[in-house]
Amino acid sequence: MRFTVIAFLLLSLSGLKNEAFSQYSAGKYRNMLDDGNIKPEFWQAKDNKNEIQVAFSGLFLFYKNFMSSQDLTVCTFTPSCSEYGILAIKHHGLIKGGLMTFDRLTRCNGLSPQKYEIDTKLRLLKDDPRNTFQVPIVSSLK
Amino acid sequence: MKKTLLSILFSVFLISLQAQSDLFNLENSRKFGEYLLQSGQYQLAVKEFERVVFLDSIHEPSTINLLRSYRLAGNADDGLSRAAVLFPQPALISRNQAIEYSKLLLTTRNWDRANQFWSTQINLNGSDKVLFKTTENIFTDHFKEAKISIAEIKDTSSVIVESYRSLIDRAIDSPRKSPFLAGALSTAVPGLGKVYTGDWKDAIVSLIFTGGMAFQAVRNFNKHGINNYRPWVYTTIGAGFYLGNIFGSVKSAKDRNRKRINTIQHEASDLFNAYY
Repeated sequence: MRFTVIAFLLLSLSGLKNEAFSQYSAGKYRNMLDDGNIKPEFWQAKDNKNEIQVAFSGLFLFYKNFMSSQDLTVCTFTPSCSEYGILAIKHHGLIKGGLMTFDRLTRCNGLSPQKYEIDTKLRLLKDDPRNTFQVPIVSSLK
Repeated sequence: MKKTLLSILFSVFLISLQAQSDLFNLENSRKFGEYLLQSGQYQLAVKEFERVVFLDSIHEPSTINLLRSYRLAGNADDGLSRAAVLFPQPALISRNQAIEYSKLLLTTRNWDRANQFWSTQINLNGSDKVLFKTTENIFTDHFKEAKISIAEIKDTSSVIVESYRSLIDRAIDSPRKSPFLAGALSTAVPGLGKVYTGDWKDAIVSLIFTGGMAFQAVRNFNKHGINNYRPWVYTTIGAGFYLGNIFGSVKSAKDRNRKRINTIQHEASDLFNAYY
């Protein structure tokens, strides 16, 4: 029985094409899946214009790298609450941006999805502190 | 046999004549530009009509199509810059050109330039000017001014005028939520302002967050006294949630009013685009 199995395996090895073992062939299947070790870049923390923005960007990066990265993606919004916070502070200043962030934290409950537009790609609710939506006046089709 | 040969040669001669015709002449370029425009290839239509207008800048439909291509390609600002070169005297351009030019101005919301253009244009009729001005007032949330403006048109048979009147009346008469009252209510009881604006689920969460932090702060003050950091952490976070909730209630009322206005503006946009 043992001999039969060994013989079968050896025979099946001989039936394989050589390229399956070659470096080239192995390289073909590399990078088919995303490399989980690539460090994400947070553009929200870039282009700081003053010391307050630098400080809060640092806090944001600390949270993202050491705390959020160890947690599940549970935020119902895009951008997420931490991203919203840093963007709000950058665009509206510390006081208004801070208040907006506290308000956002209480709204991040997933109980009122009908209030928000849905990002069809991410399947998350859209709530960007930078955007003020304006109804287009003239059609973009005619 | 000779006749057959002659007819074949003549046919070949005719085909060769046809083949030598210039595909890129003005007429063909115009047709191709219109095809690009109709098939939604707006960026390419811009390039084609730029060529057409370079060859013949007098032809009115081509200039209109060029500006339309810019607008539909999402480059309304470039279209306006191009219009400034194409029309050194905008006040004198034809009605159709003026309508397309006005659409560019409305797209970019360049109100100063639009008002100056509408007041000086000689080929737009009075109704057009009133409708453009009313549209501007509707989209800048000045509904009372829009009502005064549309009243200048006495004709009651026009669908767009009557529809504009109806939606302006709706915008003025419809109930609004007061941001001040929402803020005041949330100052008294965290979350009450959001109940007033209809976001009662967010209100409950706000009350739990603020109340929970307040409870923990009081508990820790009683337990550790004021010289310990613990109660101050809860106090700071709780105060943040409390103030954030007041801000959020005001925002919620404004958002609710904004959505109501946006619905009316969408209707106005539909009417405008169906008419022009």
